[in-house]
Amino acid sequence: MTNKSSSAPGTAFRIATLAVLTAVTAVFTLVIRIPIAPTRGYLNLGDVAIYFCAFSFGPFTALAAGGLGTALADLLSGYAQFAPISLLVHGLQGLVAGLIASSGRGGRAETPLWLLAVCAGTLIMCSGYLAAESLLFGFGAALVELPGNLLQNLAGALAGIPLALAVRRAYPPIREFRW
Amino acid sequence: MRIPSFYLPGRGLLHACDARVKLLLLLPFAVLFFLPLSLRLLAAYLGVLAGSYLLFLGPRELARTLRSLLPVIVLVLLLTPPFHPQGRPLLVVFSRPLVTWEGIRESLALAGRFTGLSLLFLLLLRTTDPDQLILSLRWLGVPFETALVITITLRMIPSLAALYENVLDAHRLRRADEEPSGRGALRRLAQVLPVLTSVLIQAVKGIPLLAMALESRGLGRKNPRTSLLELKSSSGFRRDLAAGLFILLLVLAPLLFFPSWKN
Repeated sequence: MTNKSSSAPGTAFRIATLAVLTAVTAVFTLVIRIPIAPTRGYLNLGDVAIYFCAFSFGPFTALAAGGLGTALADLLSGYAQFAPISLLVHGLQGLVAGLIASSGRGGRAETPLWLLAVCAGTLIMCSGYLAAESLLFGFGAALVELPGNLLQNLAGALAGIPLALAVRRAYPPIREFRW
Repeated sequence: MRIPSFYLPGRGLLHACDARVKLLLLLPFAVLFFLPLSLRLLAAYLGVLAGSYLLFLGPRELARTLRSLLPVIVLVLLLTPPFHPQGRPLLVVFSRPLVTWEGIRESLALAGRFTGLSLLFLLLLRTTDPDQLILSLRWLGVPFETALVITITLRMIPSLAALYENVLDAHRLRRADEEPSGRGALRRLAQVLPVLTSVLIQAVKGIPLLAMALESRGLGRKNPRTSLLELKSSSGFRRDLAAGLFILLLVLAPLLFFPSWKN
């Protein structure tokens, strides 16, 4: 069964796409971590997965996979109180990044649009978490999280864009999976 | 790689309680922590939550949960007072109040709120079977397709994590005669990119196969759907709901009938 670009994808294909990409986002957030030596902290690659979804599959897949995937990762890692925040903020991040990325005609104009999409996604993610965490545990503690969130989005841009290009080159049928 | 599960099986009352009741009561109990409560009342609510945790999940689980929350609690206690310079000063630096009684009160309230919400959410998740949780979300109106996505995702996460480990090992074997991996987050990110590319391609290749499997199981058909798993009977639900509302009323009683306890 293939998703023919001439017809809209069926329900089963959309559900399969969302399930796989949500699981990818959750695994990238939960399992794959890059240690940061100076702080002894970790970068998770959830934002990489969100930007990959936005650039390769479109805004609505990124909205669902990004929001649900990060929320499930929060639930599974014992930070359930952040799940509603992640659902909203990362979902919006994926949606806006996907909308900006798909507004062009492709070709050479794509990369600048993707960079703009990452900037918009970063703004939404950082301000969303700052607002929500201020409500949850105060402005002072929320401000401390801001550099980490900025770093995560930088990693998202540095890895998400090359990943989307590399996967597209290595597996061309992915172009037909957008909806 | 073992993915943690949020459910801890058990036989307590909270485990046996209907998942729909727990989901319905989560919101009012969560809103409670955003009300302007006195520190005494907040401490009492935290005590009840901690007691419930001890009773239904055990001391080890409570200790593990509190240990995971400790870094954020310490952060809140240290960083909140400088942003609340009103009230009687305790510590003055360069003629500016750095720590005041009001600031300490606010930091304790925020730490209490964060701890209370964390314990509340975790109490729900640790005592509720994921299948019952998803069925309850369906009962609350979440579309079947969304519930199906969540169910499939929860089952795919461990296999995707294993795929990542296998691909990582394969790439390490290919690099066995090269220099050891460099330091620095950027360098590590660059090194993990080929692994991520392989994982993503493998994952994306599975989409059409999964779609075929779903279609062959009748997804998208118009005839009424049956379910292998079911929620509790309506009498069990009504009993649990009545008990839950009674507990909510008990918890709200100090606020409703003794307003002086708010301050």
